[in-house]
Amino acid sequence: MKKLSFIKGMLPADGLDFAHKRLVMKEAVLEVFTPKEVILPMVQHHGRAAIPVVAVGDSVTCGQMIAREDGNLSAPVHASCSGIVTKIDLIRLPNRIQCKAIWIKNDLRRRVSPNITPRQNPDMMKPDAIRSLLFASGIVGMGGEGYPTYAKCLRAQAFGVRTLVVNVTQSEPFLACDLHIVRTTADKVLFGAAALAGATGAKRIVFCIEDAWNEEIISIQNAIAKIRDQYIDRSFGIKVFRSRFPQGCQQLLMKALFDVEISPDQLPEVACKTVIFNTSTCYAVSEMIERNQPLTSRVVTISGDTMTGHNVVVPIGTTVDELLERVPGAHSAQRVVWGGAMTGVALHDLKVPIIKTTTAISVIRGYEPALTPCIHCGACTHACPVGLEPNYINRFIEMGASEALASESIQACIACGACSYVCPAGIALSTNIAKAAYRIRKRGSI
Amino acid sequence: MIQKQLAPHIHASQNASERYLNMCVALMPCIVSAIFYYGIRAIILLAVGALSFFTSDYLFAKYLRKETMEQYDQSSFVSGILLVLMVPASTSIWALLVGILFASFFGKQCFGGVGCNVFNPALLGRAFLELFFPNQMTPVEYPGIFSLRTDTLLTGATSNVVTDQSASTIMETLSGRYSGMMGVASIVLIGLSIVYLLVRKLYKPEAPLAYLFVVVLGYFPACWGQFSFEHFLFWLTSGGFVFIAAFALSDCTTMPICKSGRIVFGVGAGILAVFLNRFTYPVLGMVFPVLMMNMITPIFDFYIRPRVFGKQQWYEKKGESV
Repeated sequence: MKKLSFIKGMLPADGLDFAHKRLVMKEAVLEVFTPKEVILPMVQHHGRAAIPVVAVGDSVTCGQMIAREDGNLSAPVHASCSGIVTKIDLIRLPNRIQCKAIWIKNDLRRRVSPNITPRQNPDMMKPDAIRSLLFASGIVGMGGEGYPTYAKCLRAQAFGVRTLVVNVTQSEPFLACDLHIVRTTADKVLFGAAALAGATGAKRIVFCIEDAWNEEIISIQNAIAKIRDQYIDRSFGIKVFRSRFPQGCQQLLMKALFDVEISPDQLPEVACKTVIFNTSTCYAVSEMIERNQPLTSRVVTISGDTMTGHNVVVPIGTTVDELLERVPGAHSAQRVVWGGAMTGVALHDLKVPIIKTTTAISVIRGYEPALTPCIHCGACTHACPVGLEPNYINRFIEMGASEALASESIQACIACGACSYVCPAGIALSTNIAKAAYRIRKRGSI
Repeated sequence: MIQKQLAPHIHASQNASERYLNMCVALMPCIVSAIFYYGIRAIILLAVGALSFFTSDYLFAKYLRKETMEQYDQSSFVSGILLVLMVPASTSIWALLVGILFASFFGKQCFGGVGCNVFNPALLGRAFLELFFPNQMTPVEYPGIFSLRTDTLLTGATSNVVTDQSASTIMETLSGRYSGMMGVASIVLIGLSIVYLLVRKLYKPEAPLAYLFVVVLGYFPACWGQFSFEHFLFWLTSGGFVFIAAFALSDCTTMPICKSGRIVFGVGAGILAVFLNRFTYPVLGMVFPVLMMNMITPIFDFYIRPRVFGKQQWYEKKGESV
């Protein structure tokens, strides 16, 4: 099979981390975690904050809506365990969002909302019904984007997309939750993708996966062979990618699939007539259609360079603190990262919840490289997937040269962190560039 | 216990110091051959070169530029060893010291230390020695402690060895057993160094390949009428082309960043090398082309740049089907 990829980029630690990822997959036991308390922030998505509809002291069931959406570009929040609302207060998430949150104390009785019942004939749902169900069950892009899936479906339909891409390329080191979902429940992912294709009007469904994962490719192929006859009007395909680091980014996916380069402010729906969904999202959609299950739990990888990995089904809102208590090997961690090791946020306080877009908790041995002068080696330029020259950009930022920066198209940076990773001088290139890009966007100058 | 730091939280294992130490290790075959052929004198020159380059860099950095010690790395050792390997064994120590002071100050510290230098410091020092101490730069075969051939041990080789290729067989050329610069000679040992650098991923082959390609092509017009395989090998090694391709064109600091820029660099250096080797004399053909191209490296970096993703919007024609 032909292997697709973009040209640049790199293999983290020369492929070592992919071996570690294999270990994560091998060790993975998909256990369901039961927290004592959950914290449900109102902003777990891209868009306006949800509005709480419960009060302190209310008793809630698992799957009950506790906050309604505010407008179209928003998503409701559902209780992820049964219990009593103990507190409604402001919380500051690691991604710098400050919003209201609802604290629920788990009563451990597993009372489930009466709405969650198996549907009679899930294949027969109309696109309109699927979309309204998506709106009601609070499903957002679970790969980290957080764009409400309902809004994304509407947008895709408005632009008349032809292709639906299911993104299984988890190229970040230590992350394996999507791969695990695909390996164990490929037919569910496929069913969810087919339903989303119905809701968006796409006729072709393409799975994007890296070449290192043979078992997963085979399980997708089997699932496709099983389900193909049921969908006469849709075609299925698998595209295999070389294992490269920032492959999961939507611009690089589009580059590899269609040879189209989209800038960050362009939509793949417009440029390529393609809509991209994450694997976890497809899984959540199939759960929603089969059982009316709103988005209350997700698979999270707990992994890092100090420990073997785990994929755990975690109710949304579980605190990282509580999660790490029950994972062996996490005590020796010097740094806990909310997200992947390359792009995540290091936590200084572990009392933060896992939200709908958290793919992983990385437990990292704290290591900062020594800072030496730039030796002009060009490693950052060769690693940059979008063709920037981070060493010169960083020098301009240090000098404060706004005019020189203006011609550097700094806004094309996708903040993947590859330049900082490879830098032998230990310069925080990607951080500096992301900060400068943010300042330029806000103020017009550094 | 929990540190708050910025992404990414993992880093590639190789830092700048290790890079330069690996360069030193890659120079080992040439060092060994220099010691093998020139004996104790080579050991003394190498030690003096490496240590004095380090000392002068350190003093200049500390007292002129007020730099802290943790910003310092091992690039001085690489430059010092390279410089010593490029001089003949007849060089006196004080000439070497003057060359190293010049290379350290005008090649490196003037521009702002490691990473900022425009010229390759070792090559700059070698050019300085060639211009100011020409009488010491004539290649003399020194009586080495491990020398194999005993009939020329006492008499020494003739001064201008490039024209005297009659004595050198293929085996002698490959093993570097002819008089000349100390470490430049053996094509096999330099090949070993390149393999080591490639394994360590410190060697970007674009510029050296372009350079060697142009030089090999240039052999035919440059040495018209005296083609033979032995002469070709001898010309290639004694001219220092392979040494330059291995060690000067792998110095990332003085090279363009982009691959295409590196290829242009290699081609330009190759053309200049053939011309200077043919019309002046071999050492100039070895050292000056790279220095000349170093001079215009910032121009390469300015004009030859990677294409930024998404700048050319030509998606209307494509993107129709997967």
